[in-house]
Amino acid sequence: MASLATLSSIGPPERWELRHANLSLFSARFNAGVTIQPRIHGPFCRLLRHCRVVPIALLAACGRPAEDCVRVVSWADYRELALEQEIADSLAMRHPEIPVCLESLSGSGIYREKVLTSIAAGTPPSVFLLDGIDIPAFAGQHVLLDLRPYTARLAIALDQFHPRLLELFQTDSQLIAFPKGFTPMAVYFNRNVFEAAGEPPPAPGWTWRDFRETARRLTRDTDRDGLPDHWGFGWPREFFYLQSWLWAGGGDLLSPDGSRATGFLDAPATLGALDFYMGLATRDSVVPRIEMFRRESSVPIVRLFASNRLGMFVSGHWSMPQLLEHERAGRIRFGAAPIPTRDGGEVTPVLYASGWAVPRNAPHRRWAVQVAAFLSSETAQRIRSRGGLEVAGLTSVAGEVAARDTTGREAVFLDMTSNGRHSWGARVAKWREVEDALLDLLDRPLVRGEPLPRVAADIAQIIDRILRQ
Amino acid sequence: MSTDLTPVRATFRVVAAGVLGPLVLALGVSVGRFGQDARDARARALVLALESALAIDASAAAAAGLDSAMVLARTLGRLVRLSESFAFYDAASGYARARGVLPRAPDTLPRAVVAALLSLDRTFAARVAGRAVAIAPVKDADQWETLGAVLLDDRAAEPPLFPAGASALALLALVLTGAALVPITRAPGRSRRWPVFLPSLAFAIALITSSASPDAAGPESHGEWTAIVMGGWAVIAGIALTCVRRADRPLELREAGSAWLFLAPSFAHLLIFSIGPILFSLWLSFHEWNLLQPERPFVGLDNYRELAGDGAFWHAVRNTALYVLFVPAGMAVALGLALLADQRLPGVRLLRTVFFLPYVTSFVAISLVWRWMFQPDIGLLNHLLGALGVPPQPWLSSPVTALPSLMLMSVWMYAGYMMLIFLAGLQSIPESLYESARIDGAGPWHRFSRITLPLLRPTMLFILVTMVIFMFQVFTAVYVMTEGGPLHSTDVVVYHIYRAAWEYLRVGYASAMAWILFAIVFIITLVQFRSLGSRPAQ
Repeated sequence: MASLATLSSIGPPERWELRHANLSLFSARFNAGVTIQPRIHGPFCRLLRHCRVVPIALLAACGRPAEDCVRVVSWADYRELALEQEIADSLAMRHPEIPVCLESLSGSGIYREKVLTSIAAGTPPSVFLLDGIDIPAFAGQHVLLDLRPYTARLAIALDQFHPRLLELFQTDSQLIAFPKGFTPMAVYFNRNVFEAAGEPPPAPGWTWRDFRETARRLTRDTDRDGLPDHWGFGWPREFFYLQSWLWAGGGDLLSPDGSRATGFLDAPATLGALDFYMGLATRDSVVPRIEMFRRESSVPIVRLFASNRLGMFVSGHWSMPQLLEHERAGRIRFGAAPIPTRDGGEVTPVLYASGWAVPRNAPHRRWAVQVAAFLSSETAQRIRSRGGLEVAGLTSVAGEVAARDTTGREAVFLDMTSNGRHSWGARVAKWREVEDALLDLLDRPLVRGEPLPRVAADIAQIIDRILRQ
Repeated sequence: MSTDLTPVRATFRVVAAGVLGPLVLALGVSVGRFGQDARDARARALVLALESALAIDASAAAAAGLDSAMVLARTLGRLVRLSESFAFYDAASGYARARGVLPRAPDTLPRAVVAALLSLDRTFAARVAGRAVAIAPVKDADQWETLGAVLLDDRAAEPPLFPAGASALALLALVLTGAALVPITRAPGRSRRWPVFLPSLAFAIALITSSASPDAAGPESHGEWTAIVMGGWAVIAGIALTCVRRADRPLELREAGSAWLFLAPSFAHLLIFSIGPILFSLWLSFHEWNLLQPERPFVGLDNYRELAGDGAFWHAVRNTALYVLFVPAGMAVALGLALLADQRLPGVRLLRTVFFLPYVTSFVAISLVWRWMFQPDIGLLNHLLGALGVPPQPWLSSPVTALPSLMLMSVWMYAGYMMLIFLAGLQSIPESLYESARIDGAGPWHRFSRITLPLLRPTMLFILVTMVIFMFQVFTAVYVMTEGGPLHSTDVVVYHIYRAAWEYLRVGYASAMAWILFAIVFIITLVQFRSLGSRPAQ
């Protein structure tokens, strides 16, 4: 307000000649208490008289408090945040002039709200972690900075990144984020449960029949109360756990251009995959009812797995840190295997990825781009790989991690990335509405007992309507 | 205290009202107009900055680049009727130039000014001597380096109807006149409170005029926020001064002054964090906004029209209405607990605390615990039912039992709170009434039905109204426990609004839903007051 008052007191232009000699008219005080008094003679003074550049510039600087650091926002949990801090420290060693503030909001819903709100309020973070599922929403709105022009300035060789990962962040010849990492969906199996049931570990090229038989043998009633207390397989009702199974059965959700679901969701191959998947719960009874009808229920599934009561579950690499903790504590031993296919053919796993994006209106653009690039650099990815959250986006780092791993789990994930396909969520702008409609795909047959073909046809039409809007 | 208007005061009121209307209108337009001017100036400065970025080349000689930019800007100025006065500053050399003024020698800006210019990452507008002045950073083609800045004094724009000083005077006159006119205590049939709303009218007009331009993107500019703040404070000041003016005796004057002094922070908080967002959501309900874009195109009643045909929304309304039915059941339970806790029994204080504990516990924690208790296979409830020989229930897994399960949990969660209110009501009933009834031979049931229940009517009305309003906004339990499933059986309105806004990024549509919910709750509350509140206790 003081600055505004100063400006108002300058008066109309015809009086400037009389007033400009008064230095205080052009004095402005920064927040830090520094008083600026420009020279009163020469061309600069003339500039001041005619355009009042200094008060305005100072007011501009004071009107919106300058961000004092490059804000990096992610959904890192406490384990990841420690590694991200280590990366930030490493950056500070190389670029001490760039102050970085890490902010973490664990929980996808809250994280998304926070980022959206800050963008809407015009105070976006300098760098934020972009989930693959949000790419269509953000890219279509032109809120993200195209990072491609900066790659030359920063000497970044994009071909060092995994091509499948890189292609996700390249839209319309723009690079909307520096790739961080990605993961395919794979089957985690509990070696303790397998050994207790006398089952061999899953072999490469296994089929749905193999999978079902294995799950049946792992499902047991150890306390003989007539109900199983050990289960072969666990699945939540979230669609992203199911997507790979549709592809493994030769089906799909949408047409290749992503414009319609009719003719694909209700196609025989897709219906066959859905029938197999749901049959694990209804016919084979190898799936626990716990949380079956709640979304995002992987946590209870992991708990069952960690207590050696569940033989297998499907998840991404993101489950690895939690499982490793249980393994280090001696509770479980586990392995990873590709998702089985209908006929034992090559599996096409769904890929989920994330990258470091910079909003167009991010403060400190130059620093922001430098920080985003560093967060995807080899140094950062090497540090981050110790957490085991994902497959590193740089092929060199991912290869190193797989070579170091003696259990073979990393190799399974890395091998699957080469045949992986990005989720529909990374390609369809209205994916969240589509995903909500897909909840009924499992619920209606399982809860109401409606025939699957009719349900699939209904939902395909609903999805078509959503996509047409 | 009644208000007698003398003929002089009545005449003064008529004249003042006739003057105030146009004055307020002009003031609103003035304030709003500045918002538009500032936006125009910012846009023009941005155009200049973008264009001059092409001319200024960091690698070339600064003076030459600057001269090129000047030539370009002059040409551009003729084309798009830019302002008379603008200036460039080249960050590479600290060299500055203004139009029409040829410096004799290059000069260097002070370091702090350079830092201030380089820190700019957006266009900025300010009001100087009644005119909008804008400054924009000049970036290179990749937006990597700040090459300089362009400043634009928007002389081309028409001056606002009122300069700043006149606006302030008008506002002051408005407030003082309003204060002189409005009675604080009204006599029946003599109330004239409408002048209080004149500042609000100014506020509304300012908002409308400032957001009516084609590139309006909500109250973002300095001018619009000025309008909002001025309007808000005008309302506060008007009401406060009114009260002060009408307090005839010194004591009342002091009391009124003190009251408003203490109320001012709360009122400001209410204005900024409640009334402001409420009005903004109303505005949004007529617009489309996806949060990511500043544009919020006006869509009229489209959101409401779409809502009328949205089966999922009305299904959520139905679910919410069903869920709210737990309130009467919970009240019955709470009344029973209150009667029990009102007895002079050993351990009754502990009992009260235990019953009240759920209400002060985190809703999320309670929801998580109950989610596990509702587990069909290993949950506590099915385990207890099994011990009684009852078959296991699906609880949250079935669309038939999911909503009743949530209601059951809610009864447990809120019974303690309702019990506490009932207990206060019970303890306010005079013991003498019960004594008299006993002497007259009334039994426990008669005492309860003829004394306790009628005298608890205000308490029951309070609980019913507040709990129904509160429960129509149920969200946490659904979000944590069911996420609206299975088969949308627990999809309630606020969860639906949340998804529309944050998942589907349809903020305008979500705002329309919120206003429909408000209308529903308002009507239900009105009905409750009319049907229960007007009947006096027998």
